Amino acid sequence: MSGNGVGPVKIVSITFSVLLFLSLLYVVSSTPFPHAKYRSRELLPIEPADALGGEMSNFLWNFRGFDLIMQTLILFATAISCLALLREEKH
Amino acid sequence: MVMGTELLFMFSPFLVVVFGLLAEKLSISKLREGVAIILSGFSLFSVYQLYAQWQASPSKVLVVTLGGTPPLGACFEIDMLGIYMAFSATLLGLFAVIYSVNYMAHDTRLTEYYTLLSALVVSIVGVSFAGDFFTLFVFWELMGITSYVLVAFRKESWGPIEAGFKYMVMGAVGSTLLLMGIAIVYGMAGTVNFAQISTALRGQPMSLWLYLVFAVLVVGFGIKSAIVPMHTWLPDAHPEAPSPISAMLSGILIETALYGFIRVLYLIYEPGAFSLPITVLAVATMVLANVLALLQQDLKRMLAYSSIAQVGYMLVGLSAGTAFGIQGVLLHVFNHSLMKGLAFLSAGSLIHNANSREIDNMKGLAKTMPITSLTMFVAMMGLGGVPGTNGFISKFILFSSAFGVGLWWLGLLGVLNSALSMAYYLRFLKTLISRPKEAVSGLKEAPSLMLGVTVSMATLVILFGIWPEPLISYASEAARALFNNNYIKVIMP
Amino acid sequence: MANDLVFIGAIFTMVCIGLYCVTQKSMIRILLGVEIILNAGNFAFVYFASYRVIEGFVDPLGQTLALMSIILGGSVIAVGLALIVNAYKQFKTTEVDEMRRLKW
Repeated sequence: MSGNGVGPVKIVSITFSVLLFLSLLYVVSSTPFPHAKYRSRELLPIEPADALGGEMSNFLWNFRGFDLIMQTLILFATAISCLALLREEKH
Repeated sequence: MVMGTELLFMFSPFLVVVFGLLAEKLSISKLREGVAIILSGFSLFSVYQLYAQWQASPSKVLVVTLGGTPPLGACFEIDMLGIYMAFSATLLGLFAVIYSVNYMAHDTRLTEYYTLLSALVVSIVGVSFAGDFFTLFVFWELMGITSYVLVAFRKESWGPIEAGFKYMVMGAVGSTLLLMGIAIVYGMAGTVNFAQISTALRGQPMSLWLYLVFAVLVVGFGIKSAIVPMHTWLPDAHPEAPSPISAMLSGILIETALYGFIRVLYLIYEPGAFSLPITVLAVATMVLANVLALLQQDLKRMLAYSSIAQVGYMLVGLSAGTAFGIQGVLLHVFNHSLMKGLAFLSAGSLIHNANSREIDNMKGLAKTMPITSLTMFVAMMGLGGVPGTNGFISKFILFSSAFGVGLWWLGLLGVLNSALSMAYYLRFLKTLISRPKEAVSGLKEAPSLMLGVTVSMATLVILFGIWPEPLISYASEAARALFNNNYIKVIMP
Repeated sequence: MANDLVFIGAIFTMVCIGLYCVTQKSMIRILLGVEIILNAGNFAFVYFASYRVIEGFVDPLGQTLALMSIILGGSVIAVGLALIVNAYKQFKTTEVDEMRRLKW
């Protein structure tokens, strides 16, 4: 590991992570997690079929099609950003 | 619900790229700038069309889906609050694009710049309209990615790269912690739709897990919204970004993050449930930002700390927990976008001519650039809350809402901080009108398009200060849309 | 309850390790910390989906959201790596300590 010895930043970050971890463990062990206790709808039964991959992509497109179209916009924006950051132009 | 072509402007980045590549290959000058301006105007017009549709039936909420039914499928829910935020975003986006035509004329990679700028506006509108927690997260990531790259746009010098990297690390940590929050809420309620989450979780007895969700929401939304322990990226990112991007970032992006926080908070918890933690955050934000702004020598850094202070004033209005407080917050969002956008754009004109960002190098610029100095004067008067500008009206509503709930010390602290902020604004204005050095004597006024944008924004600031009636009525309807249950009744009757 | 302690404990462990990695010196370790927290979120989605069971099939919504968030994480990492390439060209190093030129 680079750097000689344990500097102050490292001590603070290790202490912070350990304290955060212990407090989160306290949260987990004291109250049980209310799994779907507050649910307000029942599950829709889906017919099991052979082509489970087809079922999954049908579900994805029918119910989350909107998010998928916006994700194409994100992928497009990522490509344009990498172009903007890595293009070298001689002016 | 019948929908025509109102949401087609979301695909405008694709068009900007096509025309930009055409302009580069065929060497037609100003083609991509013209297309970007036309598409920004078209998005402003589309938001107006949505407002007209809302006005035809005021008690209904527009739900836009694709395919599946809303409780399981993704949707947009467009009520008056979303239209109000989207209107601020598209108006400021139009001004920023028109300003960039002259400001960025000598830069390279302009196709990518205009594409990313229009994608930024689309993502902010998407965050305002989202009806589903995961849709909000998708648009939140798009907002983040475009703004990280736009801050680091002038990559030839070391400043923007350092600022962009610092901003990216903190923004990415915030987004991923927000994803953890979405996962925990999904585990408790079984769904990610806002209306269903509200039906399931509002009014439940507070357990340790709900406090954990509040903490994750504060950190996740607060990093992007520059609330005080998590604000450290902002004073580096705003000066190093190009001026129109600083105006967009400071004018509408941090307020959209605050809007997301308000929306989710009012859907999961009772109104006024977390008044004490938000009060503590508001006090810390206001005081720290105003004190640190007094010590700055760099003009844009001073304006960046001023933005953090204005977010602190908005948190004062939020901690009141009433509809009047939220009305003040929304009014201040629109006014701050106009005023801070005007301040950053005027600062861009001054820096463009003076070639330096230090306040000491701008002595006496009012003699050679009178109109830009006048617009800067109007912006700073508005930011300080002088009567006659729209900043006074929104700050008045914010602080009187704090008085109305009984938090008189919070309102008093806000007024004192406003008075303190006038100190550093007046110090800069005194520098502008003092005796000029030799270097600034030969400079001309800013180019005409930049001048036109700043003058029209200054006119709007003063106009809405003298005649605030329509803005106050829009803001009060938007605040009422947060408190009545039309949003929920549309999906879960 | 024992199930909860193991799995949610594992998720929180990953979040804490990720937050520790964000405070490191090398830029690539910082990006890896962000990726670790993202994977913890995906794990949480799939785990919470397994509690809504009907006739042996789990709730498909959680797994769908996990699938989509993997793509989003990939985009963020791509932009981050492009920024690291530019930072290396400017500062000739990938240590964050060298980049503290902007004062308060």
